[in-house]
Amino acid sequence: MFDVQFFLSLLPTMLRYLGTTLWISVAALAIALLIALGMAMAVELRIPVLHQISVAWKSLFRGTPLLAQLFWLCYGLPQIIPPLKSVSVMTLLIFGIGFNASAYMAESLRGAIFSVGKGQMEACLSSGMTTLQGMGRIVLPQAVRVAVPALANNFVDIIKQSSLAFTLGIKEIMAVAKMEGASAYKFLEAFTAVMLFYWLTITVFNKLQAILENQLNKKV
Amino acid sequence: MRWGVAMVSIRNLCKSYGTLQVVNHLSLEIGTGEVVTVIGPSGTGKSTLLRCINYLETPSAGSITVDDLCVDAAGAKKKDIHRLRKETSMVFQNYNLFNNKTALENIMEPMVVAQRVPKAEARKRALEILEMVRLSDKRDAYPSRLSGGQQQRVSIGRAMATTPKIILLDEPTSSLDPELVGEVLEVIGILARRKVSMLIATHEMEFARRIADRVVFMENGSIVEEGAPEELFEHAQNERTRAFLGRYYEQPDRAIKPDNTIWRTQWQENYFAQ
Repeated sequence: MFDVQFFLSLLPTMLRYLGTTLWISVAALAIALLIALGMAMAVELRIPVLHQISVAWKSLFRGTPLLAQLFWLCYGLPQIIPPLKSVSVMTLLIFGIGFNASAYMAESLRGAIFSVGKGQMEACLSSGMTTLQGMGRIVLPQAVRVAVPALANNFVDIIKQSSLAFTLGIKEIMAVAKMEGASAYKFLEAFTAVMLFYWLTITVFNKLQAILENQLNKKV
Repeated sequence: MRWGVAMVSIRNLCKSYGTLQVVNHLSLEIGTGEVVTVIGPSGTGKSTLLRCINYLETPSAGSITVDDLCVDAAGAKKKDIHRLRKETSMVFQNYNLFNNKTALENIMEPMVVAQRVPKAEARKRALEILEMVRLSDKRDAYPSRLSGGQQQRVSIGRAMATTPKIILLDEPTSSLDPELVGEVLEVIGILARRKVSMLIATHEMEFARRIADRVVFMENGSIVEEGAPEELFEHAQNERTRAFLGRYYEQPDRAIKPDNTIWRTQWQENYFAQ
C-alpha cells in the first residue's frame, strides 16, 4: 500500500530540487516576456521585417510540440552551429521553454493591447506624443493590467513544462521523483509527492497573482 | 475680414476610402481666435475633416497650413505631421481620457511628455486649468470615477494645456446625457471668450449659432454654405442649408428661440445669459 514513511522521506530531497524547477521557470519567464513584448510591439506598430519574423516565430512555436522543440534546440541545432555545443543543456532548455512561452505570451499581450482601444493611442498622438511614448506611458500600462490573468496562465504553463527538463538529463523535482521512485520501486509515493509539489507551488503563485491584480486595479 | 492673417488654412482637402469620397476638395480658413462651427447631416464628413487636420486620418490630397507649417498630403514628412499634431489638439466625442491617469495627470501628460515642461510647472498649470473647468475637487479621480460631462471637461482641459494654435472639437456633446451637455458647452464658451481658435463639429444648433464667429454648413464632404451665424441661420441662401435647418426649427425641443429651450440646464442659462 501507500508507504507514508517513504513518501515523507522524499520531501526534503524534492524541496532541494524545487529550486532548480523555480530557476528554470523564472529565467524562462523573463526571456519569454522580453521577446513577447518585442513581438507585440513589432506587430502592433507594423515594423517591417520584425513584424513578419514575429508572425513566423509564433506560428513555429505554437505549431510544434515543446518536447520536439527542446530536442531540436539541444541536440539538433548544435550540429550546425558548433559553438552551441559548449553551451550547457540547462541554458538551452531555459531558452527553449522561454521561446515557446514567448509565442503564447505575445498573443496574450496582443489581445490586451487590442482591448485598450485605439482611442487611447489617438488621444496620445493628437496631444503631440510619439507612438512610442503613447505605447509606453498610456497603452501598455493599461494592457498589462488586462493581460495579467492570461500571462499568469502562461507562467503556470512554464512551471509545468519545466518538468520536461528531466528528458534532457537535468535533475529537478520531476527527475528526483522518477529516480527515487524507480530505485525503491515505489512510483505511487514518488509521483504523488511530485504532483503535490507542483500543485502547492502553483497555488502559492496564484495567490501572488491575486494580490498583484488587486494592486493594479486600485489605479483605475 | 475680422481676423487679419489666417492662422489655419485648409486647401483642397480630399479623403476617400476606396471609392467613397468622404471629404471632397474642401477649403477652409480659420483666423486667429476665430470660432468656426461645422454643422450638417450625419455621415457628411465633419468628423473626418477634423481628424484629417490632426492627421489621425491621412488625407488623400490637399494641404493643411498652421502658421508657417504647411503639410501637404503629397509627401507629408513624419516630422511635419508630428509638429502639426503639436500645434493642434483634439477633443473627442468619446472623451478618450487616459484611463490610467488621474484628472490632473491627464492634463499634465501632454505638457510633460510632448512639450517637456518641467513637472512642477506642468502641475501648476494643470491645477489652474482644472480650476477653470471647475473640477479642482476631482483632480485625483481616475476617469472611471467621473461622469461623462466631467470627463469631457477634463479632456477640453487636456486639449488646451499645450496651448495649441487651434482646438478641434469633434461633436463634444454627442455622447453625453442631455443634463450634462450644458456644463461642457459652458467650458467651450469660456475658451471662446479667451479667444482660443476652435473648429467645432456639432449637432447642437443653438450652441453652434451662439458660440460661432462663423458657421459652416457641410454636406457630402463639401462646404455648401458658410457665413456669420445670423446670416446662415436666418437668411440661408442655399436651398439645402434651409432644408437642413428647417428640420431643427420644427423640433420644439431644439428650437432656436431662447424662450423655447426647455432642454437647457442651469449651466447653460448661466452661459447664455452672459
